[in-house]
Amino acid sequence: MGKGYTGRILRVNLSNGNISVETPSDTWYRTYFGGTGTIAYYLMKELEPGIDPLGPENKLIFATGPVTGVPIAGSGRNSVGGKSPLTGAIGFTEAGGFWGPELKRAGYDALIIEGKASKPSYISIIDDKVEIRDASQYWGKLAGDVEDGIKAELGDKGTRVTQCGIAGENLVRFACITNDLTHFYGRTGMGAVMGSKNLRAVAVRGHTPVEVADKAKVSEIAKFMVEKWPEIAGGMHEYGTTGTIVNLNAAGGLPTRNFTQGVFEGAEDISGQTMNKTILIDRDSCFACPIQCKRVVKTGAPYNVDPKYGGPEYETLGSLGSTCGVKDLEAVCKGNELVAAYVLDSISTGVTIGFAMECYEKGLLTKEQTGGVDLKFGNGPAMVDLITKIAKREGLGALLAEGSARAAAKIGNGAEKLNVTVKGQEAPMHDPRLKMGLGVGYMLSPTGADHCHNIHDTGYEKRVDGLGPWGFVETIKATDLSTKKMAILKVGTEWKIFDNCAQLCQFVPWSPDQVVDIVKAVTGWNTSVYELTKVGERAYNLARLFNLREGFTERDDALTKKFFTPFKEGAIAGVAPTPQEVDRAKRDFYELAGWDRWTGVPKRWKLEELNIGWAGDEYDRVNCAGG
Amino acid sequence: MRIKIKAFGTTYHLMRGGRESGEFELPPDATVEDALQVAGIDLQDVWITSVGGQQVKLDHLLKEGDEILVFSPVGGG
Repeated sequence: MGKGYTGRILRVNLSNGNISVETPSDTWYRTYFGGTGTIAYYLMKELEPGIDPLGPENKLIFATGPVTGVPIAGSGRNSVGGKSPLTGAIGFTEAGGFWGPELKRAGYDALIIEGKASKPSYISIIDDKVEIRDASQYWGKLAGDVEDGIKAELGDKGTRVTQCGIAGENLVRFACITNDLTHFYGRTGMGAVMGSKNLRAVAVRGHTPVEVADKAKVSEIAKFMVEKWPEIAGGMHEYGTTGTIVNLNAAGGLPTRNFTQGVFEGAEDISGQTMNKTILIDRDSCFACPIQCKRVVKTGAPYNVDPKYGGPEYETLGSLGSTCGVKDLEAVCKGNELVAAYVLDSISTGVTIGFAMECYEKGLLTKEQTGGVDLKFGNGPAMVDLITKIAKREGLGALLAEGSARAAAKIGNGAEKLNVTVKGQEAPMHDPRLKMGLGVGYMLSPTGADHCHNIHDTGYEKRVDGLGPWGFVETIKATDLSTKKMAILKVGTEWKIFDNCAQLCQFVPWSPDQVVDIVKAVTGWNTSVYELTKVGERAYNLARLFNLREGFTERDDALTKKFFTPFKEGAIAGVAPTPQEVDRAKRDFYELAGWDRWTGVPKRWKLEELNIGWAGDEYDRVNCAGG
Repeated sequence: MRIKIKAFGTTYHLMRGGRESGEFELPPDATVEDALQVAGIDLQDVWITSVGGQQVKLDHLLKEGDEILVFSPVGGG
């Protein structure tokens, strides 16, 4: 087995209390690698199609990668996955922080949680000592209180706690999972899966450093980023991702008022520049990272934002801010504190509230349904108030807790046209009218609309340095939907998924060659960009097969209608992809990926090439039975 | 003539000396591109430029007191 791994996967069954450890082979590790790869493997192998994502048959998997916990910048990450209650498709999501490295130090590469506890519980892992403990005293409490309580109960401040919140307990379909209160496994509703298992938290403490193959080389690579970050990642330190607000607004693609506009008159008010000048009190970081891209904010009355929950990043500023038409930065920061305290996905929360605001303005939701609230765009206090209602499923919150796609179906009268989801997951803060390749990426993402395992076309308009290893050396327009752009989308997606298998942060500017050097130095495997891209491609194909086995078809690889309507103002007024263009691009992608052009099903030769013929057999068993 | 430049975006140190904004002296018929060169900003790092709230191209002619806003290309967020 390669170094960097512990070689052990922990399995905890909450129904019968069984706790076991398995030790996959070296070949298994090099094939599935970790993170997303580990999750896709186990979900495809062990879940029966059609199960209830909120039932005991679902599994919740926390998976690290070989790089997790190795002392270099960007290695604080791990993934969480299961069948998503938001989409019914595969769910996986990643976060940085310190919990993943601690799980590795405790001696485990992954934790598979099965079944359902008979009462509120949490799992405590202290090296080899693994226990299922009573969590009744924590049920119904805010994240900060649970974090403090568990650390005090276990008597070790070094304990790292990951938890679902009140939102997860209440099975909000976009409840997420947090670690250390400020790092979020944000997407696909994994907090609801955790809550459905009566599992409030997993506390971890470990004492064995991660072993690497070439310690001197790891130190050399680590030193590079420690010395160079002010030059190559100074902006990330200064503004984190919040600097993006003004840029996307200038480009006319800042999601505004539920994606009806691309320019927000309050952009400067909610920008990172304004935050830095007013309420930013500190910066925060993840394990071994010198960049400190995370924000910490504090405000006085009326919102009294608590700095222990950090501060909003770009996605949250966009979703709770411009998407809801709210330009009061302190209200947005209060919203950020509340989604953190209740443990909700800030993207889905903001987009769902934005959707409700548009429904209200168009008369599809009445004042009676909103509980007397004037739910117009720009109503900051209403946005803040709705977050608590969603987390607790109170009033209108009960409807919105189902996610905007289900809410739209229930509201009816054309509300479906206002919802901005792909496969039922709310779109993040990147508009396909500006970044057209990303739009096709939304369609194809196995987890629904997602900007992390995707490309950002605007980044390739001036520089393509990062694409050199795959042979793309010419700049390309953000509006380009050619076959060549689809080829870039393919390798770009596969490489991002690989990052989520190895567990490297995409905000630390490691070049592809440096990533290979990191993996070589950590594992001792003589690998290459080619092999590592294949790792990403393999996980991507497994995720696609999982969804096809669940009954998804190529018709589900579709963009929400709103993105075909051009903006009336701003830098990209009049510009939008057409349904025909994106359909052709999607089918070009299928062919490039070795999937059938018309059905989108991976061809057998592709699965054999990726060494996952077994998953093809499994697909055939379910989808071709009787045929 | 004297013009101002203000840089935005995650590419923080756009200007020579790692600054976010600055004032520069330019000849009367200078363009946006001339100003960016004087400021030491690599054109590969420039995605959008605007003057007086309007997007302008690199060959846009400047006048005394103009403020150029420079936006770098954005990736993810």
